Amino acid sequence: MLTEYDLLRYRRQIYYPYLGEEGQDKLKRSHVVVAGVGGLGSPNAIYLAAAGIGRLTIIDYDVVSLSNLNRQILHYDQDVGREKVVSACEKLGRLNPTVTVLPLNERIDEANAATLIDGADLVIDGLDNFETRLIVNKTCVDMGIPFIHGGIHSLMGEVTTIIPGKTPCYACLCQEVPEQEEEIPVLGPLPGVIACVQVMEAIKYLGGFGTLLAGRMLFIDGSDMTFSTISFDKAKNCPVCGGKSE
Amino acid sequence: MKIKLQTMDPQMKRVLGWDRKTEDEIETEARTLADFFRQVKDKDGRTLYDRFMDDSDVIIANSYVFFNCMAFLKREDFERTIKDGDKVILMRALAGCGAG
Repeated sequence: MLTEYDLLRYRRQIYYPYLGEEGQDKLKRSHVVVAGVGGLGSPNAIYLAAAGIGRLTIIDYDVVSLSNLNRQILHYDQDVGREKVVSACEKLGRLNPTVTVLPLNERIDEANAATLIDGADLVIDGLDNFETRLIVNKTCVDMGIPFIHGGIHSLMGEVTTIIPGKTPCYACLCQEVPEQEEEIPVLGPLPGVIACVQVMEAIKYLGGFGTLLAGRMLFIDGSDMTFSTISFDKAKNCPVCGGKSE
Repeated sequence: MKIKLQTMDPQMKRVLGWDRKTEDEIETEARTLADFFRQVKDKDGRTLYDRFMDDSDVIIANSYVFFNCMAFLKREDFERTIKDGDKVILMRALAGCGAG
């Protein structure tokens, strides 16, 4: 139930007729897992908290390093060397003290993924590698939890929303762990743009309105500001979701 | 017949030697997608087939190949028969910000 504080704090988005008080209450009762609080996960978590998502679980095992700070905007200079989840939890608590934030300093793997995301209404992909993404994708599909994927490289980014049983999953696109550069080029605003699109998808899904990037991949090329979407179907041979259509 | 080849990815465009365009209609007599990939060459003269297949059974894993809205993952997928008006989209799989 929304309080007077909520009604004032979220007034501008409650004004949006398709969200309204009912939708805002849905956001307040929602639990979102942010997998990774780096370049994507930082703005993911910030906008989710600002939007009034009631409960956030943030998962990351890394510590803040100086070269993170061009894009990982939850972390400041004085946070270098600190656990990212601790740094993130502090900032999110100051941004919106009504949101419950659970920081988990864990590396997601096959053994713990189900436990870490259990109870979530939605998982957001703030991950920085394919291997963990494939694990989280499979876990989300198995548990029936929507997964909003985002990926970036230099000035290129992508987003798709995976609804288990209804849409293709990430393994419909990528089944083997690709070779990955140790360090990739990235301009800070790009993960910000991609993360904001992911959170828009999250709010629409949780609020129950709008059209999702379900079965569609949005590609953004920041070099010429081209936004393109590609529709795609389930892979007939997808080992993760292939047989799980509703 | 003509097959539409499209990519919005800057790196893929460089591979294909495409400066400003993002798609092309390619005249082909290829029977299968594999034949088509053997016909189309990148700017260095290497066929898309060689570029997109590795030694195992999968497409080079850091790329997405969409064929009429279907992502193709395995070598066997490429034996699908193609027809006039089919569309192939090539994209690079994007990880995340990465460490550091």
